[in-house]
Amino acid sequence: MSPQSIALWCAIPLAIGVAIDSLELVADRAQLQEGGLYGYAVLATGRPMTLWGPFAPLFGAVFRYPAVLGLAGAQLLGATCLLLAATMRTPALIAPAGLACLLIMASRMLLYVRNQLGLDGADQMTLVVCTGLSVALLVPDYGAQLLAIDYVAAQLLLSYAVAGIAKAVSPVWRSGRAVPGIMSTIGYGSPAVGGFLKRNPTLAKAACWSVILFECSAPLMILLGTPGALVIVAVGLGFHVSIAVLMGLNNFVWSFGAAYPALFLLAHSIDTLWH
Amino acid sequence: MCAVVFGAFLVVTAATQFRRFRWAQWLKSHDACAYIPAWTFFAPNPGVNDTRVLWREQLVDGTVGPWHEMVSPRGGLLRAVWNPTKRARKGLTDCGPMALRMIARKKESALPIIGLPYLMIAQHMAGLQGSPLGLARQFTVVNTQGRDTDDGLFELLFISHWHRQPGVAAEVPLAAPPLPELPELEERTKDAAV
Repeated sequence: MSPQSIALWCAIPLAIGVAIDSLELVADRAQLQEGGLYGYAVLATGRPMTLWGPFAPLFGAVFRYPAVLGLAGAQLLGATCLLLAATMRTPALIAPAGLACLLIMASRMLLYVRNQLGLDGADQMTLVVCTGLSVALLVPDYGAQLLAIDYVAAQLLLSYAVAGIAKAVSPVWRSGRAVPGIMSTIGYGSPAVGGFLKRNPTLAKAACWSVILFECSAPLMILLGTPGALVIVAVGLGFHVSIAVLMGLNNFVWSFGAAYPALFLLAHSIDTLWH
Repeated sequence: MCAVVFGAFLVVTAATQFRRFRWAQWLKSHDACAYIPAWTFFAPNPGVNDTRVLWREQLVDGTVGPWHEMVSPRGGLLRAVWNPTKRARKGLTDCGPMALRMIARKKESALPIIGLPYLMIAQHMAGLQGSPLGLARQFTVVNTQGRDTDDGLFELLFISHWHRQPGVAAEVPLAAPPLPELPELEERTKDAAV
């Protein structure tokens, strides 16, 4: 189990998620045009560096519609190369795969310089995974590759720990009102499911506490090594797939799924430590 | 070297989550490309209402049209794999309350309406397909709970001024006065027809 082999496993869901995200950006391109929510004439007023200064014309050239679609295109190109390299798994394609990760990361970071409103945790996990994979696939030093993959796993566990603690201290979550409340929204829920949970408060409380317990226990479960990682991945995948189906947050499956193979490398190190 | 860099990223990520430290807040506010993640998903206060932005237009004869939703919600199973409008909906859900907070902070000032969130909504509203006889448009931010057919919460948070459509001559008078005056926060009604 080498870090680069794990990185190539991470690359498959990452590439699929990035491809979907880029195509969604193109499909909803009306929002990027002037007169759309993300028209650049207004967005440029949000930061001094995009409004004036030596780089403002350069930013304008990249961020105005239709040039901004080039960033979506660059991501799509990067995702295609990454997917090819990850499925073919030939040593010659490892460095190009690392460059594809860098291309995806640079394009996304530029898109986030253009606008940060409307981003979610999946976008941020994508950046985390791209960072780890770029280093693991491009840096020849084995120790650095190992650290890069462990970094992805550590960010994944940190994300669950933070989300779990934030929920555990919240009375809305502890009382069991959070999941039916979120589910009752039309933006992030399925009102029929929300209504059902409101009529079954015991089930609603169980749903809230399941989320809290899973998220809080993930960083502890990894201490069990590979069996712990298997439990996190199995429960986590079920969790993110149900979020995609019920809440429409489709990219979490791919971005968090891309971090899961990294858990196994960390778990392997923990196994070695225990033995 | 790698250990130091990755370790530092992890420490910064952990420190910025609950915004306790001043330096962490400063760092987060200067993070131009959203590199430092925020991992507190739907917590500690989950959004249990829908924040929605609606718009309507006034025609040249003074008629005021019905309210329309700027980005309609999308249901169904397909959104589990394909959900292109989620970003625009999230963007509006972020912009609406941000614009309200800016207005609430500077009650006597007109500056918030040239703030980014307000301008983004206004720009989007102006660009939406409407009547060729449209003279001006206004938007409203509301909180709702449940489906529109349900008898759930309806909370009117804010109604904007009328904004003249681009290209409409300034001499053409607006039939109705700008209603209500800014800021108009926390106005609640259960019977408002939207």
